[in-house]
Amino acid sequence: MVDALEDRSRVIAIGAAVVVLIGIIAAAGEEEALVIGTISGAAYGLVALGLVLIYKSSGVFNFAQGEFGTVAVYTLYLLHFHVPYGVALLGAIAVATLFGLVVERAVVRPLFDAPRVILLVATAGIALLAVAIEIWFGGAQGKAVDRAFPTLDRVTVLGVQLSDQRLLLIALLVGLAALLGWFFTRTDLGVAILAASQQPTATELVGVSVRRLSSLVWALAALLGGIAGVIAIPEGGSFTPGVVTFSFLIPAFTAAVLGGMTSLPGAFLGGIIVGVVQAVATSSSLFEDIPGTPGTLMVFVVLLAVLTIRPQGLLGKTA
Amino acid sequence: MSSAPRSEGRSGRRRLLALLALLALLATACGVKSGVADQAVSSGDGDGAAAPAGGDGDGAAAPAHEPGPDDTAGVSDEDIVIGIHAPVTGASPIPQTSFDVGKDIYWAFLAEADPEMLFGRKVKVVFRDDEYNPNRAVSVCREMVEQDGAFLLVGGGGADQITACAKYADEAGVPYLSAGVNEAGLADLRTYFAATMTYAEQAPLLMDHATESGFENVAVVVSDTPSFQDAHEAISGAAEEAGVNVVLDTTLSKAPAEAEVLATVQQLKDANADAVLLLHSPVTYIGLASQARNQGFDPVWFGPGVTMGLNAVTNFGCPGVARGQFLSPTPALDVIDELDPDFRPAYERYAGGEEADDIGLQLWSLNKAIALMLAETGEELGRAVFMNTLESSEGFDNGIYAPIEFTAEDHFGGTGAHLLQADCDLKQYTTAEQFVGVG
Repeated sequence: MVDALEDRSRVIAIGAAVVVLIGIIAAAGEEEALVIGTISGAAYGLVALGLVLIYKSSGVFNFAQGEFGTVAVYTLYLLHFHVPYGVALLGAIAVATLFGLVVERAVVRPLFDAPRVILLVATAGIALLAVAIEIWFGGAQGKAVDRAFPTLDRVTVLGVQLSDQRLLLIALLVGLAALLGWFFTRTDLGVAILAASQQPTATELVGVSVRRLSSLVWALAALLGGIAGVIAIPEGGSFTPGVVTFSFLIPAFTAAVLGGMTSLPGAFLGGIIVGVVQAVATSSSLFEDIPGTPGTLMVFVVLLAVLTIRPQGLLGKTA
Repeated sequence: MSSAPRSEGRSGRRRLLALLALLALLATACGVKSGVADQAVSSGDGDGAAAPAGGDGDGAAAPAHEPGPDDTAGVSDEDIVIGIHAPVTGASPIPQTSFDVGKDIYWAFLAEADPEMLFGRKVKVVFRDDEYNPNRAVSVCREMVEQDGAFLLVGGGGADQITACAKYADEAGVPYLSAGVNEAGLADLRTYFAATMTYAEQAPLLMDHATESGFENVAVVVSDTPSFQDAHEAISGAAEEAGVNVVLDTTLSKAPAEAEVLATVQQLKDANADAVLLLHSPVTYIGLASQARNQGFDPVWFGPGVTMGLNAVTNFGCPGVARGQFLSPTPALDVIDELDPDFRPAYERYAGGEEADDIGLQLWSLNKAIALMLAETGEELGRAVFMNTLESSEGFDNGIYAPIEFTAEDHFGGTGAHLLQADCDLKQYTTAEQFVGVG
């Protein structure tokens, strides 16, 4: 009861802080950066959701999360030569999910009882291997990829055009964060996954197969990565090997830590914050005199500030 | 509170701190700042070098190059070994097949068409991928000199990598040639020679182009790397001198996040720029142009060469890059038969079925210029006499580049460029104007 009240007051306080920040940014004339940050932050948030999912269930920072997305983009690119776009899109997400399952069976499961740091390094190895295979198959040069929806100017918000694809990305992020939040708090399977991450032996003792749960979690994370890849990357019109890893993984990690590594809504919120901070720091004249890259620098300043005040992140509980 | 949760809390905090440190390392590794000057080996005087011979010399003649202990390394009665490095992987890759094929075509042609031009010697080319990484560039250049015995080194692309490797070459006393890139960090190197115009030298040509094209509001976007600082200053200065209305002048990180790209596009749109002068990597150019198009914003993108004007950009950047116009040391393939009738037949004969392309043309042109330099040096070939020849020659005209003219004080030898224009129907660049700036 006390915990629930604390949770609620914390969410209200953070919500109020976010609203005040939005007001300050808008008052400073950077309302466009708010919109830009939100739409680019949605992609970070979607990748961050996958990271949090794996971390919640196994305590591992998954460096291969971006490659689930890149594999999906490559599959979309290849399939679209032979089948209609919608079929290629579904096929791409299916292949990414399958890739997640293969990674779980071939790498994660044999290392199930190994220290977490070994698994962390293993996921970095998977990412590097995947990038090498992408270069081997398709060369290092960029490739053009079509978007799912051709309409570029469905709505204009504060001077920023939003395409159908962007709107879909935002809707997917909100929907999936809510769905996964519900899954982990309201379903037996979700609770079992959390239990397996905290007390694997006890979970096995009550008859739940921890290994089977692990497969499910990795498949879900790969599905999220795949969706992020095939929806976000075509907005840029082209891709290169490792595109999701190199473009989204670091902002997504930052988003996940900022939001709290155990909180799915936190990943959503963290993604948006990272996007907005990058956009504001890039476009605002306030940061003009900062040498280097104010966008990257300010993200780390915000991250440090949040972790100093709340080491577990904005919406996270003790990891 | 029990001790277990407290211990878990501490463990979680430790993990977060470890992750934070890891992220900071990754951000640094991803090139927030390339810091070429720090990464490359320190610039020495080379063997026998006594004074810098950059473009901004004080007018005093630099002393001649004196032969060092490895003066004739890489040269025998039969062969001359040339080492080339270029990024065929990394953030700004050059198509590897084109590079692998193209690097040898001119030398194969020359060996058959005019074997006596190089006094009966054949040129053997050694190639290494620098992975678009300055540290790697230094490492592969060292390998090519110390293991493969390269007589001279050639930079195939990538300003930071060229700068880093040129600094190593200067220390080792090895001649180093490339297409023109930045001047900062290269102007003081005695063994570095730019065969085409540097970015800074192209700035006045670009501003003339802006004026002639009637661009009313020009924006300038430059990659945030120390290597481009001189070019950025030259562009700003040339704009002021030409009276071009610059509505936005900004930098963008070397590997920008999506939010940075979108925010920059929005700034350009808000500034109402009808043309954007861009000095960045091709990958970022394509991202900017595509996102601009998504925002219903379709300016002319123009800038200095080389890499922005490669057909790889139009291949996967169209339709976003449809309004691209870039200077280039070589023309596009549409006019090459007029300028050099040997190029296509040589490709047909020596390329093993590969079609002639623009990467091949870039390599052909640079190799042809190097052949002229080697020929003029004479039969007694050594590094010092080669560099002295470059500095004292009246010039080298390969018919494709604008004439190359070095002096002892000025190793930036380019005197003009070609203007290329994207054609998204053909998915390649065409030549809009030949020999721009050549008086």
